[in-house]
Amino acid sequence: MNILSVENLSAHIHAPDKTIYLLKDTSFTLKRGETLAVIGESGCGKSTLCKTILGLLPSHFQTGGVLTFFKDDNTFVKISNRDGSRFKNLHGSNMGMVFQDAAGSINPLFKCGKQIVDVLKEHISNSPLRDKHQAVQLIEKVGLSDPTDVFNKYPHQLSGGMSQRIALALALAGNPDLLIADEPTSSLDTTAKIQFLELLRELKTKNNLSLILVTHNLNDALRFSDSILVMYNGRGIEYRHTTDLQQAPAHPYTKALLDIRAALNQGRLPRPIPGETPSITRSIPGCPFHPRCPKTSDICRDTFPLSTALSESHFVCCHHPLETN
Amino acid sequence: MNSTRQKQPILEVNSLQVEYPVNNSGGFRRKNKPAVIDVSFKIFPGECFAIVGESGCGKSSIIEAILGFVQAKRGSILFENQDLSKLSPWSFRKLRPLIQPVFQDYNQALNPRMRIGDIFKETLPVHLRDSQTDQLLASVGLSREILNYFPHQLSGGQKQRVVLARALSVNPTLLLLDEPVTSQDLSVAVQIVELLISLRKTNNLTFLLVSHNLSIVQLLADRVAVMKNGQFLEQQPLAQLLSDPRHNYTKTIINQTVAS
Repeated sequence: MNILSVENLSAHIHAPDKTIYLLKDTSFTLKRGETLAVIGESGCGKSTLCKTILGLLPSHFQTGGVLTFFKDDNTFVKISNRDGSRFKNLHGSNMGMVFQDAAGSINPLFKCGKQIVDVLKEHISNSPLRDKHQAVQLIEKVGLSDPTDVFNKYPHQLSGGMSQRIALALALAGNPDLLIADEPTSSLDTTAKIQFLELLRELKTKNNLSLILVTHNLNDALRFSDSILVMYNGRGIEYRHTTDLQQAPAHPYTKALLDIRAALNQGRLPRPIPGETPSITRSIPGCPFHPRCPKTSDICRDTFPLSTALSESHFVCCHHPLETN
Repeated sequence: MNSTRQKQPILEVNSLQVEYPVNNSGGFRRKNKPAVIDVSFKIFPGECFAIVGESGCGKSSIIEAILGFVQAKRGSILFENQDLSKLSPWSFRKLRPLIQPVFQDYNQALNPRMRIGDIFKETLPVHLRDSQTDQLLASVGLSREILNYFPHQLSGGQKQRVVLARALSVNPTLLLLDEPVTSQDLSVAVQIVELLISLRKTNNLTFLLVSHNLSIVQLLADRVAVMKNGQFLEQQPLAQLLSDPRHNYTKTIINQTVAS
């Protein structure tokens, strides 16, 4: 059963001389209780995708495509244009978000506990005493020892890992069905990172959460997700179940990333992908990966490859997909 | 390795201690908190010595002490048989071109208001500017057209190459690499590592590499020191460290590298 369906989602801005697409024709579906990892290099549109789903883009962005959120009670909300009030109804209680910069997403002027209580007031509205009790429980749930002490601390008194856990508690306070985590571990050490991702996995199973995990770390994506969306230059170029993708990627870019990972894990120097990651503001004719692709042909230089379904849960945007059987 | 061991070390750090003032109580009494405690190591010419540890363990403080950005509380830093921690600013300045840092944050390392060409002009002698600029750009794989660009017009990988080229422009013998690829994407990081390996060979450079990422360290380093809470837990040749880690913390780091 699906929780989120995204069809041809796009986001663009009008510059004085051209239109810049930060997200273009990206589609995927997310099943209830599953984790989708969105991977890609910096500036490929991962964060724009999250913000478009949540309706958090600034007002000068134009968006397109259809977004359908399926609720618990078998009803669904379909959003085809920018509609602030519809998004607002979904925020907190249906969709929560953990941002990359934990410190930036917590108000430095208020104690952590008060901020969680505010979210509870907005979405669940119990008595003040029960709200406080629930906030302390949430702090404990996200793995912080001595929750009463943390409840009374200001954000600057916490370490990076603790701040990220408070940001997670804030996102979970509305009891959402879908959690979107945008690079939640990029500012954490390896140990804190693995602990945080394990915590996310545990909470996901306990609360039957669906999760969109945005990361540029392929290892994390392969380890913690059920399916993966690979993004390049603002487009979703391959989508598949994680284990299948790892064994047989169809897009040359996905294969190049997996080869680099395999070499690094074996302590070998990987063969780098030739060329530079293209800037999203530069429009590249044809397939955006063609200047770096070993399988480039004339058609790749002229025409963008439309999304081709290789199986029910596998699509790829490539004129010359690799053998996946 | 044996041949390098018999040489004189290019850098010798003995019992280094670095402290920072902290004011926990909000009162007038200031206390010093040690960031680096009794750290000793030697780096031989042509070698890559890596320091691995988590954020806040004191890795970058060692680099800052070598560069004179922070004063060593105790210990000595011998470079070419001169103790850097006791040199006068003027004497230190003469040695400074030979030790060049490459920092993690390339955005802050480049002046946003200067074109790349002007950034190079600052370090190159007037009469050699044109020829040396071409040579430098070729060595880091950049084209001449970027000389007219401002830093914000370059990608992350290009900026890190510019930072490397600028460091090489004064013919250093020792490069201090502080997390040089941490903020790069995987494909770009691999390109930079490949470039560092080739530069080390062609320019006969010695590296002090600081990183928390063991998978990158194992591509570059000859010897590795593992650091925790300001202290070295162990230092060994890379192969030995990976096959026979002595400390539990090292085992954890190695396991996490495989797991992550």
